[in-house]
Amino acid sequence: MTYPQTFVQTIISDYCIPIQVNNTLDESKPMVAGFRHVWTPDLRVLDADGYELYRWNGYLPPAEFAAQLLAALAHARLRLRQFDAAEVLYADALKRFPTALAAPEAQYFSGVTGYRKTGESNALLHGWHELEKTYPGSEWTVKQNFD
Amino acid sequence: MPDEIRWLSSLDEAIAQSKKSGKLVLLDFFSPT
Repeated sequence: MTYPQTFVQTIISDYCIPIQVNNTLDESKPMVAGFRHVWTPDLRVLDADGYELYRWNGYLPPAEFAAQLLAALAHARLRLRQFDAAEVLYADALKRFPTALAAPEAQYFSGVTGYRKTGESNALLHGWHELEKTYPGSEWTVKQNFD
Repeated sequence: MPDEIRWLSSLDEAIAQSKKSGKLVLLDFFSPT
């Protein structure tokens, strides 16, 4: 069980307005259709206009869920161009959950955040060097190549 | 420390609270087992 874990609850409480939708209810049909929902677990991060900024499917155990949620919230802040907030969330994800499945993605976009924030290519290259060094076999290390 | 997650069931309410608090909305579609 993921949600009973205190550290998961704390992340949700600190950073989120949580809403659950039972996809079997008739009253949920507009939401199911509107979000093109097809499979649970189905998690979305939305901005204050209801615009979807990140999504993932599938069960994750508590520590993996927490890392994925922090990376998702960071990505949402990045897309909103709230670079300081994104930076803090990515750093938290990487510090607390460095071996999580979401960690390489967090490292990848941590570099992107630094670049978007400063315009300095070194911020991107430093972040991506860390990615290549720490997570050499990850999908995100493949994606950081631009040869 | 939170005792439990205070899930909402209305998207309109979640968005209203998001606008007020600055927090992002976490939407969880689930199917009861």
